[in-house]
Amino acid sequence: MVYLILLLYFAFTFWGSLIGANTKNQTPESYFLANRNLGTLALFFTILATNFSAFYFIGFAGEGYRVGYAYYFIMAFGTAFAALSFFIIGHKVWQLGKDKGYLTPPELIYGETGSQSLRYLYASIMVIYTLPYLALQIIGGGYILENLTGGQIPYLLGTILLTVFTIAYVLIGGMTSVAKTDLKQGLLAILFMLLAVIFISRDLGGLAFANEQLFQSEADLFQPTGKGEQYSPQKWFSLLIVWLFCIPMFPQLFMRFYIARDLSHLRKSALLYAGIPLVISLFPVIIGVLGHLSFPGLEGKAADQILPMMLVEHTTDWFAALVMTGAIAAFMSTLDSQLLALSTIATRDFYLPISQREVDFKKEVAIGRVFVAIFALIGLFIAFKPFATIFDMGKLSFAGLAILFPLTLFILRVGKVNPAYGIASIGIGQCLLLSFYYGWLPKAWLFGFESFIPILLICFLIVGLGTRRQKTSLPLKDEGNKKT
Amino acid sequence: MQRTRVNLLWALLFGAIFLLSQSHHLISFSHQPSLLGLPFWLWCYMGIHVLLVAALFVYSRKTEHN
Repeated sequence: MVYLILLLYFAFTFWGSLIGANTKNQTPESYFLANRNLGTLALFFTILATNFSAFYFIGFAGEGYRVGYAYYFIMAFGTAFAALSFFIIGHKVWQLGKDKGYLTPPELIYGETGSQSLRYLYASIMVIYTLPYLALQIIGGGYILENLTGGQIPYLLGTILLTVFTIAYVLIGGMTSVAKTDLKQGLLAILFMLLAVIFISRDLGGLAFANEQLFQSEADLFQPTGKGEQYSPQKWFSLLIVWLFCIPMFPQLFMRFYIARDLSHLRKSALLYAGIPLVISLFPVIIGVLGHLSFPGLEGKAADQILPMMLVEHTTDWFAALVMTGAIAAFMSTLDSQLLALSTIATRDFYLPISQREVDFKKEVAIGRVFVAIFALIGLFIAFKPFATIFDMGKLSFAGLAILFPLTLFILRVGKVNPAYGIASIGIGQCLLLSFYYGWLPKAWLFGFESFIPILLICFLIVGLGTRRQKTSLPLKDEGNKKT
Repeated sequence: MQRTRVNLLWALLFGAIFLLSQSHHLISFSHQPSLLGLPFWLWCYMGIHVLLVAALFVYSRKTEHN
């Protein structure tokens, strides 16, 4: 039954990809940006599906287990607050994309500053810090398949199978098929998570009863400071605010600002993006928290598997398979978007400018496909030996990307940014981030905040010093990129 | 100038909502299980989330008209 459900899901997804693969009259806009023509619901679900990934299913449940209900609010409110970026950043990105034909974030940076060096640096950071987040999807998929099949598909084999499948349907369909599968996968994920909470809590005697039971032994899980008082005021502040800065810098999300049909659809999807996490963020966290009743004592990375473990323990095989299929859907919807975004950046912001070649659209897509495979394999390599918990790998990714925010904001909203200052803000920001991460700089200097808080302040200062308020945009220079 | 003032007011509003999300450091909310067994403070904070969404809705209408 488990294998049947999995096979049906893969067939359904692949069929959707084939429908999206329209090989007639394809242009870069149609392949990479779905013709900049997505309406509110499709846009919202493609953003949501991109955002709510293995990090949502596995990471939320894992942190719910490790921290408690405080984690729910961090993610729900933090994500909602990040919807402000749709207005602050998204509107301008959409407008510039429409007016000047930008397809990638670094293209916009180059078009508005004229600096090829800044473009390369910006693109490099986006690629480097998206790779661990990309690997998370593969890791999550591996865990799910292993638990779902009782170990018959071991972790490593599961990661390979899912990665190969995702590569296949991305190569065929491009962004149109990605957006269409995101809509279906988003709906599936929400529905199945809700049912999972209902069935698991019913098996535990009802949600209220289970929570009352748990409160007797693990009252810390119900504190706003989290289990073991993990969320100090500084950490709470840091984890709530980071999403505003990092979410718009995910390349797969940044590029979705380009694909709205018009600003009205972008605004409406922003409101949905702010409201929906209020409900759906609760589902995996509840399962993670209640995991203490069935699987006490899990530590570190072991807790990342609490969601599949609870499903297998408290529901039927077929239902567990359905929910985990929804989870795999989430994992693949994020992975496919990341692969498409990174391959587009690698092609248009590295390969073509550096090679100085003029290519037609078909050749551009062919080059992009090579990069899809390359990045998928890198993600797979990272997944073979994860270097931290899913949450911590995600946190590193998010912090690295957030450092791009000050430069992006000033370019879009304030004025003409001197590229040297832009390069300095990114370079110094990344050096500081890695210094704190590896312990070369003492954590005491952070006064309890997460490192990206003071680093972001420094980046804002540097960019601010190098910005002239009178904004004049430079025309986009076409070097080796032939527009079709 | 008028537009800058309006933008500043919106920034202050969203800043205030964000500060509300830090209020448990000053106000001792109960963490006892309440509705559905979820802690009482969580329900209060969900109310703050709803407030944020409402503010975003009004903000989006204003920017649309502008």
